[in-house]
Amino acid sequence: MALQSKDLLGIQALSEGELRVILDTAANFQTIAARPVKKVPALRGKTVANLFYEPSTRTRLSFELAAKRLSADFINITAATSSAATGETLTDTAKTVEAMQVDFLVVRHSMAGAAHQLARQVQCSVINAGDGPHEHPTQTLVDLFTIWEHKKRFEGLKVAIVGDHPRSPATISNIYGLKKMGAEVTLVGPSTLIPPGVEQFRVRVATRLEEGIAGADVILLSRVEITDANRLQIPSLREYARFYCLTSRRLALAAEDALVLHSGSMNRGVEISPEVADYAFPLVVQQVTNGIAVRMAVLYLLAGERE
Amino acid sequence: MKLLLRNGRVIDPSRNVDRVCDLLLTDGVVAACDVGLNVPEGADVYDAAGKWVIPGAVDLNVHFAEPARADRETVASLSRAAAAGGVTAAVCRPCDDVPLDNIPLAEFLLSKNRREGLVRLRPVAALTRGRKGETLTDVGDLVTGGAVAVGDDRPVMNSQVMRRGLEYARSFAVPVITFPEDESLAAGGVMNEGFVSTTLGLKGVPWSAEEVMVIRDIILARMTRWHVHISPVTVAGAVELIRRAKADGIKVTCDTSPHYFWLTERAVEGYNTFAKVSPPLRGDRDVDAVKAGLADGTIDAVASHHVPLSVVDKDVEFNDAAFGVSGLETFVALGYTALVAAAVVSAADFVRLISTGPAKLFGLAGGSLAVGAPADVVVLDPEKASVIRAASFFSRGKNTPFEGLTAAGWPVLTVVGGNVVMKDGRLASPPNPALAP
Repeated sequence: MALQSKDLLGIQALSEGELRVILDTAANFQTIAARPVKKVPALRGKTVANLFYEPSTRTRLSFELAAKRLSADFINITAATSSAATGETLTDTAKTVEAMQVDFLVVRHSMAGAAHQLARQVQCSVINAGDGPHEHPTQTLVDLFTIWEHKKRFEGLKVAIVGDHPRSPATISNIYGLKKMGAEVTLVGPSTLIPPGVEQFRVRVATRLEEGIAGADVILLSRVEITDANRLQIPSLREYARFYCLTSRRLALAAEDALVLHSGSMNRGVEISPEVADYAFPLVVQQVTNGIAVRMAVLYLLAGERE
Repeated sequence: MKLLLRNGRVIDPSRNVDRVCDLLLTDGVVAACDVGLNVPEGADVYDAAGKWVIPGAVDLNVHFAEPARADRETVASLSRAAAAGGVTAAVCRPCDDVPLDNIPLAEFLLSKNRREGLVRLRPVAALTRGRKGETLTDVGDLVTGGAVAVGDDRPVMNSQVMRRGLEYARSFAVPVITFPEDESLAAGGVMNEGFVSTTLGLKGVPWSAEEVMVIRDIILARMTRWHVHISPVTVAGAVELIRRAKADGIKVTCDTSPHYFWLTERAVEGYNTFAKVSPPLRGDRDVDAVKAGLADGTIDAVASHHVPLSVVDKDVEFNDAAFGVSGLETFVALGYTALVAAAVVSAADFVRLISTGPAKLFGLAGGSLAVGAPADVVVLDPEKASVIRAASFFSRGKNTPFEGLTAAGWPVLTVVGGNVVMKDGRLASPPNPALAP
C-alpha cells in the first residue's frame, strides 16, 4: 500500500490506514539503523532537495540523513525568509526547483501554507517540514512512532499537549494524528493560548495543568518563550512556570508510566523542571534516531506512489 | 447624439417605475420614457427587448494606484473596467498607493479621467493627513476640489480624531466613510478568526474587531449629529447594530460587497490568496445576516470594493499576500445572481442598492432615469450567463476569487452622459466627451 497523495503536506489529509503504514514502514527502517551498514539502495537515482526558508538544524539534518541512507542524491537550497524578501513569486520558485529535476522537495517555512502553495505548482513530491504554526507532519509521525514503541496502543490513550499552541509547530498535526489513531486529547494552557474553535476537533481543553495531565498516559511538551508575538498571551515566564511547568510533583498526577515527550530544545525551568527534563531526556535522544527512520519511511512511501 | 432604447424593462427606483417601455436619450440627458416613442431623426435604436434598462451602477468603493503602482491599476484601466462592468460612476477611495489627502492627487484623478476616461470618477478624500489617523486633512479644500466624501479607508483608531473629523466634515456637508475594524483587535490577522483559521494555522481577525468599531462610530454619529457611512459591513452583529441605530434615527448608512454575500472564510482553504481581503471573508451566519440586511434596507448599497492587485502581490505566501479583490467588472452580475436570481431582493431593490441608493448617499450623478437626468444608463441582460475569467478583465487587477464561476445578469450596454462606452463587451475609445467640464 502506498500513500494517496504525491505530497506529505499535513496529517489532516492522511487516513488512519496511511498513518499505520508509515509507522510500520518506519519500524522496518529502524532495524536497518541497527546494522553496521545503514544504507539501502531504495532511492538510488532520486534527488531530494531541502528548501528551508528558516533554520531548523534538527529537521534539516534528519531529512538529509534519511535521504542519504536511502541512497538518494541530496542538495540543500538556501532560501531567503520568504518570496517577498526576494521579490520572486512562488510560481518562479516552483519552476526553478522543477528545472533542477528534483524528485522530493522538503520545505520548511515560517508561514502557514507555503508548502501547500508550492506543491500545487510542481510535479515532484513536496514534504512539509513545518509551516509555521500550521502543520509539522513528520514531527507528529515521530511522536506517534515513539508513543507506539512504548505504549503499543493508541485507542483510548490519554494524551495531554501542553505549550504555546498558537506558536507550537506541531500542535495541530498532533491533534489530527492522535485523534485519527483513537487517542483522547487534552489541550492544556491558559485560555489565551487555546486556538479559536479548537473544541471542533473534539479535544478537551484544560486551563490548569493539574487537571489536564491527571491520569495522562502521554504528555507532549514544546518549548515556551516570550516574544513580541505572545506578550499579551503569557504575562511572564515566571508566571507560566508557576502554573504550567511540568514538575515531578505534577508528573505524579499522570499515569504511573507516563511518557513525557519534548519536541525541541528544552527551556529547563519553564515548561519542564530540571529533574523531569533529566527523566525525559533519553526519550529526546531516542526521538532523534526515530526521526531518521520515520523520514526514510515517508520518502520511501512517496517514491513508491510515484513509480 | 440620440439613442432610443426600445422595449426594455425600465426599472427606475427613483420614480418607482418598473415597466416595459422605450427610453430616449438626447444631448446627454434622459429625454423621454414612455411606450411607443417615435424614432427621432438621426437617432440610433437599440433593441432592449427582454433586457433591463436601468440607471448605471454607482460604485462607492473602488481603488486605483497610478502613478505609484501603475501595474495594479491606472485611471484609464479603472475607467475601462467600470464601463465593462456597467458602472457609470465610481468613487475612488484613498489607499497606500494614492492617499488622496491633498488637492494635487484629487486633481490628478479628475484631469486624467477627463483625458483618458470613459465613466465618471470622483475622489473620496482622506480624512487624516497621510491616512495616519492623527491630524485632519484640509477637508474644505478637498471638497471644493471635487471630493464627494471623506474617509481614510482604513481605521481611524483615535476616537477624538474621528469626533472632530465628523464635526468638521459636517460644516462642508460631506459624509464621513469609516472602515469598521479595531486595529488592536484585528492584531495583524489575515483571515476570519475561528476554527477554519485554526486548521490553517493563520492568524484571525475576530468579528468583535468590526463590531467594536461600528458601535463607536454609531455613538460618534449620534454625538456629532453627522452622517457616518460604514464601509464595508461584513459581520452579523454589525448589521444588527446598524439596524438598531437606524431605528433610533441616527444618521448612519453602510455598504457591503458581493464577496461578503457570496463567499465564506472557507474560500481561503488551500491558501487561496485571491480570497484574502480586508475585512476578511466571514462565516455562514454572517453571509445570511448580510443578505437579510440587504433585503430589509439596513444595508444601503452594494459596492465592488475593487482593490486591483498585480501578480507579485498575490503569488506569494498567504501571510505576505496583499488584501483585496478585483471586483469592478463582476459586481453587478454577481449581485444580480446572488440577490435577484436567488430572490433575496426584488429587481427594483437591487437597482436601488447598486445605483439609486449610492448616488443619493454621496450626491453623485446617476441613479435616476427621470426626464432631464444625466443619460447614465445600463442595459443588463438577465438571461446572459457567462463564466468569469480574470484574463479577460479590462482591469489590470486579475485577482478574483470568482474565477471559473458562472454568473448571470451581465451588462451589455453602458451609456455615460449619452455616449455609448460599452456595447456587447466592446469599449469605446476614450475620452468620453461627456466628462469634459
